[in-house]
Amino acid sequence: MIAFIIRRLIFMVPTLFVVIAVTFMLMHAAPGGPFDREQQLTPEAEAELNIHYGLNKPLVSQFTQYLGGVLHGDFGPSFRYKEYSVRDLIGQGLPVSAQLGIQALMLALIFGISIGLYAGYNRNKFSDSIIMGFAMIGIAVPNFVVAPMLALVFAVWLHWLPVSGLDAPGAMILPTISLVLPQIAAVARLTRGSVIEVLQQNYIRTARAKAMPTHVILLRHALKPSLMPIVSYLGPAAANLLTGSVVIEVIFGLPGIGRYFVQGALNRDYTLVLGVIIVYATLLIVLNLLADLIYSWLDPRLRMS
Amino acid sequence: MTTETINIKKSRSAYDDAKRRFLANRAAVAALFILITIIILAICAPIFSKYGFDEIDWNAFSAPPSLASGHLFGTDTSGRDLFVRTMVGARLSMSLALLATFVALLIGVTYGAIAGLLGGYVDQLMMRIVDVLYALPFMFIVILLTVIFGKHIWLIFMGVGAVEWLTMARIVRSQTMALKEREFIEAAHAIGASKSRILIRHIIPNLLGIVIVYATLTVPQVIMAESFLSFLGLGVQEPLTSWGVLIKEGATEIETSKWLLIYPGLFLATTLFSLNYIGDGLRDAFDPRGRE
Repeated sequence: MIAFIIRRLIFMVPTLFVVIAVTFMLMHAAPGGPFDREQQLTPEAEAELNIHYGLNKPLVSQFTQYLGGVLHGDFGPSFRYKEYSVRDLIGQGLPVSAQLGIQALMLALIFGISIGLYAGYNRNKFSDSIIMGFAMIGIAVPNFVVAPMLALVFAVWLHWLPVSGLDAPGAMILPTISLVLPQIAAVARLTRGSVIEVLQQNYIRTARAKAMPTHVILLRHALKPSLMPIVSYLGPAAANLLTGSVVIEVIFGLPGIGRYFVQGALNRDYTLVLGVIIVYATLLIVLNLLADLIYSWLDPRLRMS
Repeated sequence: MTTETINIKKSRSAYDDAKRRFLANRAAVAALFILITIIILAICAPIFSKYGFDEIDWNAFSAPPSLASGHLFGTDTSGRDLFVRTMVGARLSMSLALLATFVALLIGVTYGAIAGLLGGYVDQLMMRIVDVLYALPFMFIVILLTVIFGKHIWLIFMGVGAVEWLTMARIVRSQTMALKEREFIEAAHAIGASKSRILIRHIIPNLLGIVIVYATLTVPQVIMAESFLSFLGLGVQEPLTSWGVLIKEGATEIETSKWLLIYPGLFLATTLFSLNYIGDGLRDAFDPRGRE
């Protein structure tokens, strides 16, 4: 088990290195510099800017310098927001994005598992078909379509919740709901499938034969083994939530790292985009590792080997 | 003569089976019909409509849908017909998706088949590389591509294909490895069939089913990626239009002109819905493990 964790931790290093190297090289291979869109710069001024940001040095030394900075948590200055460093911007945005993501993940698990359990137990009944129909819609309708509609109904028409920003109370409610709906649908579908499989096992039949009440069978015997696919879905779910939060933050004007990322991409703010990608990649790798650990901890067959 | 007929029958029967199973799946068949309808509409509607997709109707700015004016889905803030724009957007969204899927297919099948056939250290190394790439956040790499390629939308989507091949490679590899061990391959060896003949006659035809399934499931992912990017203003740019561009316009005008979001959103969702159902249906039809 410990060997497994160490092996995975060591495996993280080349992955992150590849991420940083590839993004860095691609950024610098891109045509056009970060200062292209400002008012016509004189060649001297541009050369001065390049010297100021170290862009005149050879690529390899720029890279090693950057890598050294990243190891110390320094992502360099933002090319656009002149008075901020990328680290400041990420530090400001991360708590907002993290709150959004953690809330959404919790809700996705709670609602997704309950709904999936119910649908799986009532397999092929009317209520199951209805639920699974909705789940399919939840997966197929992208959240950038759902979010504006929710904003229209609950913010513009009913005035229950704020349209955008972070200051008003309840500001996180609409973004969280928009972000979580597709994930609830995905978790519910997964849970339903595995519950159906588990309910066909012999030990469930034994429990039924012993006339155990339904809730005991479902919660005591069927739930735990049904959760295995959900645990392995945690990694992709985290990726989906991170991706989703980019667009949700833009729609609801939340100052999270997703919005900085999009602005960085629109403004060709290389250091900002690089920094956010590194943060995202690290998060994803760590979350995937956690999911794998939980999985091997839950499955005794894996624990043995 | 007799043996020949039997051979022909046998080599076709796997696909006949799959076809029969697919056609028995009513949801998948319905989804296929819906998708075909959308494709035909996307191809034909702009040709036969009396409005061009970038033509301004000076009598109808932000007009709601109406049969009388001929603006079935209404018009946008510049007085352009939304129905035609949705169909023209469908063309671009789907073409980009097909391009990216084709690139993903090409790389994924080649890579996976090579790894699966060679096995050993080469396979180990190739799959480790796939593992490393798998850990990268897909959508963020795509956003990175938009920063690099800028306004060259076709290049961006070739790039999307070049990052979307990983699942395909994994599946093709495991399928190739499983096929290598099967009796009929052994039998082909035994009767003296050459390696290339085995590859072409036996391995590739048996991979085709699973490749079609995952190609069908890749298309909606790319369509989603396109709308996502265009929604953020990073993908397709005016004067071109796509579902993502239309949804973005709709989202900004939602308080005054709901139809601008609803119709493109509906078409996007229906297409994704259908493709997912078709993909699931094809998977059930082709997946050997699914056979009872």
